Amino acid sequence: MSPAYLLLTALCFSVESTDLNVAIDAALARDRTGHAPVKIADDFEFCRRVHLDLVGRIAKPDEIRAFLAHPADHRRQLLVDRLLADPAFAKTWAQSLHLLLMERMGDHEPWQNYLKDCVVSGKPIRTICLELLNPSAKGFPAGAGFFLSKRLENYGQNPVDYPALTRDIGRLFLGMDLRCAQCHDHLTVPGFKQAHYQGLYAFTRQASLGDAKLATVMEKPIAGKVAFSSVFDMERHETGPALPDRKPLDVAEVKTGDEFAVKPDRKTNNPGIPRVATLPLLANAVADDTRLARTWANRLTRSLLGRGIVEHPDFDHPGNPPSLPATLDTLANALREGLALKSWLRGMVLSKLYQTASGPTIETNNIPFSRAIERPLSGEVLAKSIEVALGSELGDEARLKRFRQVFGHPAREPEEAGHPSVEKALFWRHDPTVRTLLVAKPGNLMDRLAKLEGAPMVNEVYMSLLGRPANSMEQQAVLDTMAKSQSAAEARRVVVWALLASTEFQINH
Amino acid sequence: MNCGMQHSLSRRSWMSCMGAATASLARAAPSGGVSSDRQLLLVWLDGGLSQLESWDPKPGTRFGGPFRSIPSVVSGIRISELMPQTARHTNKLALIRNLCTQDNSHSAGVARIQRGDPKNRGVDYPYLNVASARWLGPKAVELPASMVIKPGNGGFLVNETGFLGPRHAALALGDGKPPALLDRPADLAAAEDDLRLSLRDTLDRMGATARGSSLALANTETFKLAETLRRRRDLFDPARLSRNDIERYGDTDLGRHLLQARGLLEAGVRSVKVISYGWDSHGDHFNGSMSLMPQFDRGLSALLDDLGNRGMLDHVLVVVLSEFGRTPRINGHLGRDHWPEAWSAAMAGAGIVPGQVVGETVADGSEVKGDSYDIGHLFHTIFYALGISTSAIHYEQSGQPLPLAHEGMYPIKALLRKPPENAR
Repeated sequence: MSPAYLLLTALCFSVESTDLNVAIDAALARDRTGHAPVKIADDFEFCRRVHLDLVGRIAKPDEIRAFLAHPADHRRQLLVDRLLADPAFAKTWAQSLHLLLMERMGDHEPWQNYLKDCVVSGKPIRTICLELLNPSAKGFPAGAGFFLSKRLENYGQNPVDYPALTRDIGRLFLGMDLRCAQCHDHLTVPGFKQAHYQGLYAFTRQASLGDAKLATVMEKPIAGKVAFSSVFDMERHETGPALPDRKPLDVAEVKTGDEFAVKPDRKTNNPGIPRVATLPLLANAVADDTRLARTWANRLTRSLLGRGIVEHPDFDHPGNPPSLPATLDTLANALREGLALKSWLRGMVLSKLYQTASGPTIETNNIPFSRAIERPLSGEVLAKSIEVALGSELGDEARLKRFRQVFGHPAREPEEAGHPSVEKALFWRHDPTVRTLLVAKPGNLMDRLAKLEGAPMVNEVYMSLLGRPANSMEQQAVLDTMAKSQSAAEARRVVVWALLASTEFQINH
Repeated sequence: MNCGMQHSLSRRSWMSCMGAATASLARAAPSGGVSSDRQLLLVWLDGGLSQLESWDPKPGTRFGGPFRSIPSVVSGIRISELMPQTARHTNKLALIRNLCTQDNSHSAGVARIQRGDPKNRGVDYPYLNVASARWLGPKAVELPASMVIKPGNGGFLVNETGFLGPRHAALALGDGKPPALLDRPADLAAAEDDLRLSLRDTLDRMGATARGSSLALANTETFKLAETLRRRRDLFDPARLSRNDIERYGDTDLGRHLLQARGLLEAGVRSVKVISYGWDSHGDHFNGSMSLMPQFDRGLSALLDDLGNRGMLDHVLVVVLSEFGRTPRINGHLGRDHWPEAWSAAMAGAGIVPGQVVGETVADGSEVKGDSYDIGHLFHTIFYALGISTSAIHYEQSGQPLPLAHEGMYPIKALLRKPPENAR
């Protein structure tokens, strides 16, 4: 990439995004008033981290060396701008949004295209919210309906899981996991009321699946208020559609027989259009709610830092305050004011909050976020990183599927924490996919290593897999092991496998 | 948030709770666990065992079908003539004939019955075998706490773990065979394998020190467990089952798997589930029963024989369960459909008063006569039989306590050797 292009790319970013990292740092300083400065990641750590986060793979040794060749005072900015201009950025973040919103419940090509467009076109969070929650609106893009349509599908003979849909809207858009409040006020979170859950449910219960393949959603006419009672006192209550802690919306009463603006027509399979549809009301209410930007700022922060400023993001309530309140406000305000995701990410990754060094997770002097924590790689990122590290294509979809199967989380489990398992250990040890990658082919890592020996060879392995040189203890351990091997080829396989199967390769830190 | 607070049992934060995490992987008793020598064997007859062709026959009635009932070793207890060998073991069994549950579909019933259906909790509960292993912890240091033997594919059954998360997933032996990828590939020399494992371990330990990595420690534990499983492949190798034993249990999937279950229990696996498919007999039910029931009869009776002779019924609880029973009414395809309204289960072993029948159905078997029990009652009873007090212990999820079993139900007094005060 030419320097002129890099310069142009850098200039193209709005003042807002440039300001954002400055604003985050200022807010962080306010939040950390009185605390000692925290350590910032070294260039190797930053280079690996930002590659994984922005383009979904580790850096190649050549890329690391090129990065280090730039002047120290602006090499990080140049790297970030290069990665944001890489076509892999849109794909990586479409996948990140997909995991964040669908939690591996399924996939859909138009949905992926929609998410890619959200990233590329710089849609504000408010617009994305409107499109996700009211996908039938005229002119709204195809694919956006998948968020609702997938959740409105039947599985086997089970009924549509409206409680899960209602919970997901509370969690993902408002930072409130109201699952316990389905049946009673939350026992330990005073702010999570049963009326909150039921108010959200009053929005969603009219929705039904249109066409699963087309990801379309239909609505029935509103059926009065939702009646509910706590399992503890059985006292009867009712509510209309309402966001938590907001007044129920005034929904015009519709006379029986006059529920539809466009009547259903069985002959043409037209489900009709109700006079009062609740999904548009929901979409607008959430889009206008201050909690939307705060929840997304917190969730996006969590996907970059491994923990939310409010942790866990589904439990944003006064009893669980943000660890960095000014910083969270800054991040949320940027989204609220319409900053595009790409610009927001640029501000974030250039901030000191993102660039904190990794290390023991116990906070130094109780300073929040004083150390970056380990974040396990998703199956997709891991597969891509292996390809980059070894210089060997994994190739067919079946192999990638295998990675998703072993390393992806099950449906409905957020891609957050890692979970070491025997299945993964056996995969690394014995799966043919891994074995075949350790064969030398012209130009790949095993081939390059065959031309090196001793410390240079060890450093090449470390740079290729972990994006950093080996320290002296590591170098000694590797050389000692190599000396015990039956042959040089076996020694190379042993070392590369040990690093591939190491925890450090499989995490972002 | 800390380990004891929100989501403490979900996977979301488990890695931040390193002590609990590594403990659960292989070694120490689980946090808040129960000290007990009890083990669980769940025999799951998927599709729905017909109560009329097994534990609650109604010969000579309009729905009774062609099979007779036969007397058993316990005076007054008659079971289907399709179970002549089990009839010699009713002195070890407690039969529950008054189950009345909610779901008549497989897709809802299989999960609901195995989760114990604590209603309206808004979360997915773990299956019985997983929940038992979670509270009792691994019995043998080197083996998984929970294992499943089933036809078809094996692997780690994460969908059974509910809110406990995948670290509690049972290891399933598909067709009784070892886990996938357990064997070292032929082109990988043992010396090379040992060398690379040793280097991986060394580098991870260095990383754990430098980064304070809890994940590295947990990874190392899983590599160790994988190696232990590889070395204990005798437990998973159907080829090592004795010919004589196979003959006694029956040379069928169910027979071999029950025999293998005995071995896993002896080795110290805390919770074993044997799954048998093919019990959903909507058509040609009676010919089907003549084929399936003898397999079940032979395997179960051999198992009860062995567990009894080896003194294992003192600490192993055997539960035979399906998602529902089958309709008394015989459909147009000479089949029986799904019937949760009145069906039966059987239990034997630890903590259970044997040689009895609890509950009854009306003359034609179409409904329960008198009091009925739902799956929640059975869960309370099973947990107590395993030494797990459902009134003293609860899950913690999202910062609030969740009962182990339906809080509106209670343990069945007649079934328990030491019934708690709230049993009825």
